[in-house]
Amino acid sequence: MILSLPLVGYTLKAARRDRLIWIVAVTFVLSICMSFFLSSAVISEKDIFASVFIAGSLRIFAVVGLVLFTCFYIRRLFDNREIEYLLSRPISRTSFVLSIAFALSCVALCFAAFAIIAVIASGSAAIDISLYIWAGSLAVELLIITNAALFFSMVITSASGSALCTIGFYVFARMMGQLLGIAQTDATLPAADLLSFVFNGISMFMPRLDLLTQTSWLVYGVKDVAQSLLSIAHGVACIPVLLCAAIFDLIRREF
Amino acid sequence: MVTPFRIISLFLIGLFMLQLSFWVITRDYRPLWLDVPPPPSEEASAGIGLGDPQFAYRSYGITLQNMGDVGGETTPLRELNYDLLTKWFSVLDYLDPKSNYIPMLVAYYFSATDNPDQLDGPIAYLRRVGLREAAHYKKWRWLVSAIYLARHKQKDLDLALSMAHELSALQNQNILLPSWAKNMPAFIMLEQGDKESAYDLTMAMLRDGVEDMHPNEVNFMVEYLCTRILDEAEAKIHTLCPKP
Repeated sequence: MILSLPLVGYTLKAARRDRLIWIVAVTFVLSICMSFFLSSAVISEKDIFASVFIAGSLRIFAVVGLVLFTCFYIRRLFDNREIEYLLSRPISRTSFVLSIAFALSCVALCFAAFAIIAVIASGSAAIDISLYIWAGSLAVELLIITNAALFFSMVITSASGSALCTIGFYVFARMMGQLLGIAQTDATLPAADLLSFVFNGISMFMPRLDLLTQTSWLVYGVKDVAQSLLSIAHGVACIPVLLCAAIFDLIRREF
Repeated sequence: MVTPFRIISLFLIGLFMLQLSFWVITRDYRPLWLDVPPPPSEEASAGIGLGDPQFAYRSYGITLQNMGDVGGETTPLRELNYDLLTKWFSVLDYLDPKSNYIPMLVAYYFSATDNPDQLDGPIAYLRRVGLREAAHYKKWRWLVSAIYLARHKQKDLDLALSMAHELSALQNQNILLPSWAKNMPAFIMLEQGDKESAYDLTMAMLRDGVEDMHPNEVNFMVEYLCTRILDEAEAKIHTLCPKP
């Protein structure tokens, strides 16, 4: 079997031991309260404000929670030499990475489920295909970030360094559309051609997260369902790339 | 004997006294309002929402609503930089052209300044929003707000009339307008003293559009014709006006 269920359970236990679910649940509740508080202060469209603030802030908090947990958990495995113990068991390195990725993905999906339930429970978003697409794209976005965090924490030997790299990757991926737009349209920028070339080059390796999880879908509905599904498919395709890179790094590593 | 514990304790007390002296100096400092900040470019505007334009729109929107009111201080609207505010309106309109939040904020909040000269930007913004996508989102009402501001706050009847004509012309784009909106040019012409044009326009509407109007709208137009456009003597002999 390619997955090691004891290792999956071990990782999930670590999440439970770190009280990750409870911490995230409390953060989500506070974020929802803050969203309702802020939306109550606006002069109109209070419901829309509430749903946008809830959906947007929960996405950001979920990403931060997942990145911090994944990076610090993986680095702890290395620093405490747990990884050497675990690899001494009859388990291949590929299976090791896939098992941890599976367990972390379960945590990510749990976060996504929390966020989706919160948005539905807020009562400010219609339950229709737009909500389903938003929910699906949120799940994919969190899976991408979790696997990116797994990759960076395998490659970079510092927990804070890998967390910062993952957050940088996330910000870059979410801003990629903006950066490409600026580089292609603003000819007044110094070295505009060079910038355009650089951003185009970087965009070849980055998922376009700016096309995923748009809160406007919850407000006005999805305009182009096919394009949204294509973006989600693009996101799904990024996950194996990150996993392969993490496996490649672990295979060539010497303990 | 001076022990390390005593030294550290004295050092801590000294630092605490230093902290207290800073507190005495800074406790009355308040966040300083440095006027309306320049808006981001349209291309970069979604950055605050990490590539999510709707999140950025709502975040900027609530910031704009509270602009000038920071740290317990309130700033009169007349002291805000309306040129920069108008640029903010445009950027937010780019982020979400469908929402009515910013147009409402402009029409009912920022228009409350007591300096009518500041209203050029808000009027131009409301006019632009009112003429755009009017058929789908009933945006024409923001054009009405622009006419109101030009007519009653700026007292610029020529500008109000030109926008009233634009409003009335929207009916040619199959946009459903109430009779008062269609007849807006007549209201302003009458205020300009052009009674004849106001009469002709109102009569034309009653003649050509009465079949599409609700009876209440027809009654309103007839009432306006008989009590505002015509004087008492003219109303007595006019066929549409009720006889006493």
